[in-house]
Amino acid sequence: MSDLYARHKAVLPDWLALYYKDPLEITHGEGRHVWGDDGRKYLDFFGGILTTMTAHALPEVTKAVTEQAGRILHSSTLYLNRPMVELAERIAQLSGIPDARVFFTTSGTEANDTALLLATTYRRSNQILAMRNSYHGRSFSAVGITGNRGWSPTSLSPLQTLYVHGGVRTRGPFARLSDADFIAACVADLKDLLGHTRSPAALIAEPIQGVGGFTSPPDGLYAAFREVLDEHGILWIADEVQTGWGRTGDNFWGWQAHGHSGPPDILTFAKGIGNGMSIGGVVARADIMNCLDANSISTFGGTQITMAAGLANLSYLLEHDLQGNARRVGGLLIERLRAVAAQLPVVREVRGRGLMIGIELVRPGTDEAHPDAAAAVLEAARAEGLLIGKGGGHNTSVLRIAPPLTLTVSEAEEGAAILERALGSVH
Amino acid sequence: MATALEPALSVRQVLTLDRVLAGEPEVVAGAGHLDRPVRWVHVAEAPDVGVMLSGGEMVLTTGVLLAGDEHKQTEYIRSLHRAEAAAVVLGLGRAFPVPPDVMRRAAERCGLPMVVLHRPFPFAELTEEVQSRLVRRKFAAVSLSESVRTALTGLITACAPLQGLLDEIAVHAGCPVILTNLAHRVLATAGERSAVDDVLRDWERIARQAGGSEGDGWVRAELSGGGERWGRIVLCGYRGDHPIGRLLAERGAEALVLHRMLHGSAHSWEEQSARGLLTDLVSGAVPARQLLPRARAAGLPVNRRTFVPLVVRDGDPVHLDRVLRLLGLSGLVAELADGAAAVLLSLARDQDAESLTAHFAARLRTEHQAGGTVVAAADARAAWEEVPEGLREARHVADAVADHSAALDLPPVVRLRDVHLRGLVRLLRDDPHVQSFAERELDGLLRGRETEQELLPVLRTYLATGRNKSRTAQLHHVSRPALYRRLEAIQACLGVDLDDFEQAASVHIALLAHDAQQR
Repeated sequence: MSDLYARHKAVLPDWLALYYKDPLEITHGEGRHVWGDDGRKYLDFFGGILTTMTAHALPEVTKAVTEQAGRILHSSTLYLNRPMVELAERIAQLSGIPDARVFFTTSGTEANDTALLLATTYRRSNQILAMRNSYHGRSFSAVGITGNRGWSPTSLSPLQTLYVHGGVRTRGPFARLSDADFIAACVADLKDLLGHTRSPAALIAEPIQGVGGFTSPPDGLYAAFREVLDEHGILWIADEVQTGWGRTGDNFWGWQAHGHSGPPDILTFAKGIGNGMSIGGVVARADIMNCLDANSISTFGGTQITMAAGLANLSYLLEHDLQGNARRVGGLLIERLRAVAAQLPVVREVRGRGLMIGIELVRPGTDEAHPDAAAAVLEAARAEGLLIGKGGGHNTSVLRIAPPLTLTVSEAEEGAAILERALGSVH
Repeated sequence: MATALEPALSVRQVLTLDRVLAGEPEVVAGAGHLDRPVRWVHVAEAPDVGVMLSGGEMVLTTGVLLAGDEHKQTEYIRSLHRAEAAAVVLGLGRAFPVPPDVMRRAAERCGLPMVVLHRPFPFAELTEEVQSRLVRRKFAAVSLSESVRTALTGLITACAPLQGLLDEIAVHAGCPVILTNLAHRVLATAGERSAVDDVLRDWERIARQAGGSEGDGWVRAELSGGGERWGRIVLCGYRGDHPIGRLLAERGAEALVLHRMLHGSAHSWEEQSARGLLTDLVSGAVPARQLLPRARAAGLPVNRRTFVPLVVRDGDPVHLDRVLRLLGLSGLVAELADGAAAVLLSLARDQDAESLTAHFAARLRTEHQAGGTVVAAADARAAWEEVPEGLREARHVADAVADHSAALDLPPVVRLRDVHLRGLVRLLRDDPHVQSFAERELDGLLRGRETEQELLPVLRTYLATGRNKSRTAQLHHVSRPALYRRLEAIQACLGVDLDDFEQAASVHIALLAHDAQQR
């Protein structure tokens, strides 16, 4: 055991999971590559959990952070803050939500927390609809609505949560239906549920579930839900923490795949926008955002140093059409991986869109989760110089692939070749 | 295009001229620099000769104004060096009976070749000899450049194929000429077959290794247009002077760029090269082993690989190639003569040929949601020698199921075992017995009026669907009663009862044989 690993274990909580039998310390990075304390160079297909959105050590972001650090790091929301106002203006514009207000937090968890606070206050209800296999953060209120046992350390909650069908297309009772019938069945289930319960405040859903293993419903499901929710005045919260900023290639926000009944009432974001600087946030219609009747500030949310990084990162993303790159290079990568998977019974499904790709592993010939195989592929890929992630809800084991959005075709091909060998080495 | 041609003789070449040899030349300094080009020959006795030179001259002198003054001698050599003269030739005689040591040392220090003539002869003879050679060379180069250009332009305006241009260049070059894309993939070759094969045998290594160096007679010229490089032409082992080779390569490159601008894209060249190779493989005219170098040079991995021959009816090679790239599969794609595209996959030995083929076919189907693309596949071949047979098998399968895909409800990948009777009938189609059998059986319909001939497709579908009336009615968009009337008409024309198995089978075989005749 390395010295750092021993110190980690001695001083940090046991539930703080580490990847790899021989955990890796990443010392620096550049572009789509990082270097480990072992001196090796790794192609990074996980970006520190989808957070290194553009590239490691992107000079544009480094410059913005350095310059801002030379002026002032922080002043809190009690003072006017130019970078915060500028980033809020840009995000309000991009969100697609009319009359949008933006509140910055320091993480996705806190953003979802805030969204739940807004929705329950606005609607005067503590009833929440969430999706099975979902994950919305690690705070006390967020774990209370999480639909994933593996990430739910307590059932105590100030909220009453009801789980709706539809977040997972290829498992569950409706898996065999066509897309249209699948949506119809989920809508019927939602309508039935609403008949049994007091009126909920909101439905919160990830357009593509992140921790759940990049599972998603057919396009249009949340638009169909939206029509039902509207009849009852129930809000729709789109949790875009993993899906935002063009990662899915086809759309800038994940909700746009479900956009034909209009945008969500509340949108939460985090991860990629700061390229590693801790930025989270909530976008909501003004009447919802302004419904709180007590003071609520944030000490760290919107602090200058993170906002400077966010502005530089967002500009780079838009100017270089990284959404388009995610669509093109991600499209190639998913095709490659599907061709690889076609030969391997251990792979149940290759799914996702853009640069958000899940590979679900099973014991060959069954539908049973195969966590040992997932762990083995993770190790084998690392041995060949590729970092990937894993996830999946109950009874599933999924490899998660989410490289920085500047990924090039040759890097995608290199990664696919490594994954082919890594997947071929397990059974 | 800037021509690097500088028609010149080297100092060494001048010294080997007969007229010069008669003067018994001896190199006394600067022997390491004899390959310098001599641009001109100049006779100069003046001590300040340097100011009259512009570089590259071979200076001839008797040294009459230098004798006895060592300082002048040194200065003379230095001024030649400063003026970048190619060499100095000193005729020994009255001024210098023996090579002057001071000049020799000065020349050695400057690295200036110094030659003494032990039996001097009139310098005019030397200048005339060298000058006339230089002029002839210059003229020869210009004239070659013109004649090559004229020949190539003639070919281009006559819409000659790419191969014609390359052949012409090869004739002038007298060595193999190879056209490649930037990835060193060979697109076309010209020159003597065996010499070309020698070059291609080890192409991967040679192509990269010979990179920048232009020794060994390898001459390259880049093909570029619109500010973008997209290929190069290589003369492999050009035996003439390098500048002439360079000139040839550049003239060739100009012509090829022009040809592409006028007649299509580089992509179609890649396609042409694949088509030539696959067509040769299918035809069996050239033994497969001999085509191996070409396959390798075309970028197909061939060492320790499994080959999967496929044929796709009405497949668009560009599209097929795109899907292959998307899926990361190595392979060659080309359209065969009869509207079918051949795909030769090359897989690593540990890859699963069957499931990758199925995935490729399924992927093609998702792109064409309307048409059920059918991929005809032969079994994977482990040895290159078996590839031609495999390609023929795949083509046979594709032909056998052509036009029947809708009625047959075929899987995405069709193999020999799926074609059953159709395959057999197709193989026998040239047999006169089979032909007369088909004519006899179908006589009533074939000789009938137009309305009766229109019944043929109905009969075809009815038999192909296993005499499924509702499916046949559906596929022909007619009602059941309308179908019954047509079937009755067919039975009346042919004088058979289609409900009788043997009679129906006989008609079915005849129809398959008839259809096999049509294509």
